[in-house]
Amino acid sequence: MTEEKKDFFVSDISLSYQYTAGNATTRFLNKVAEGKLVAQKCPKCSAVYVPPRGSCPRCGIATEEELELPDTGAVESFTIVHIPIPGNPIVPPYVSAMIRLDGADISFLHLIQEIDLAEIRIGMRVQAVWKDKSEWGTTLENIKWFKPTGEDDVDPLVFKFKE
Amino acid sequence: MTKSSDKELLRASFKLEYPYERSPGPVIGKFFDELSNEVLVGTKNSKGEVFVPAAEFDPKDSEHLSEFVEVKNEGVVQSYTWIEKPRAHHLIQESFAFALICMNGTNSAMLHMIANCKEDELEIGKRVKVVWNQEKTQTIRDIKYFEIIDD
Repeated sequence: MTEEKKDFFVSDISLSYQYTAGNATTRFLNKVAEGKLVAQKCPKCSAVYVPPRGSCPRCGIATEEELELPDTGAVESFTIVHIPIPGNPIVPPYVSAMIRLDGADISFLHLIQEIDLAEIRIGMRVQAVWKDKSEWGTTLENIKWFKPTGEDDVDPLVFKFKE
Repeated sequence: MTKSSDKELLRASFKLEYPYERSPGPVIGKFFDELSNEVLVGTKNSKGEVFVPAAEFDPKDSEHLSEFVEVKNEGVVQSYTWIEKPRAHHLIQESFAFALICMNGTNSAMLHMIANCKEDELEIGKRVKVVWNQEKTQTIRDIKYFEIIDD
């Protein structure tokens, strides 16, 4: 192959599919559309799940009791992303974090912004920054990102799953 | 997300994509380049066996292959799968077959499509020839499909 010929071509692999949320996620997202974060609690071990999936993976039983959680929590784990991902509109560097809402026993992935990257740490207190109410839909994107609250850090030991 | 009419469950369409850049390398690269000239090339090993698409290494003994030979654009169906109802992503929207085609004078088979025929016209051993795409992209798509040679 001579120098001027193209050495690379773009190979596209894609999979189009239809996602059905199921009962628990549908209930959760309908509440998110009202600006509420509603968790489910296991009747046996009392673990609180958000987002709920309709069952407790530890006890293997259905979770039906629902409780609203605040939109505040703490950083359980985080990654600072420096490398752009093709097709991702978020401009690096940005922080992806596992966020443990107050009162929850599991965490979920979201963004942290309005922060000095050198300051981000496990245990940092954060609060959701919501989009304008007119833009709300049945998606966690109603929360633009989480931002630090400036409160004292929590002890990372609180993240240990309760026995 | 939209609500499905039957169960009030939320549904949404998703598309999972993984675009990446691939280097064809000097041998498959040459094969693709020649396709845009409507020429099929293979590589030949020291025993005189020919592989199409051009292989960089002999599949049996890993001999490094660098001698290119041109082959005729006709071959024989080695096996096939009939696609009665193509899906949206298929390049041909009428019934067709995916087939392994052994090009004449070669000792290998190439995966491609056979179109312009009915299912009962196709069988193993049938002779087929290349139909070229007018628009060339230096990819395997420069071959539009194969069609049966009328004897």
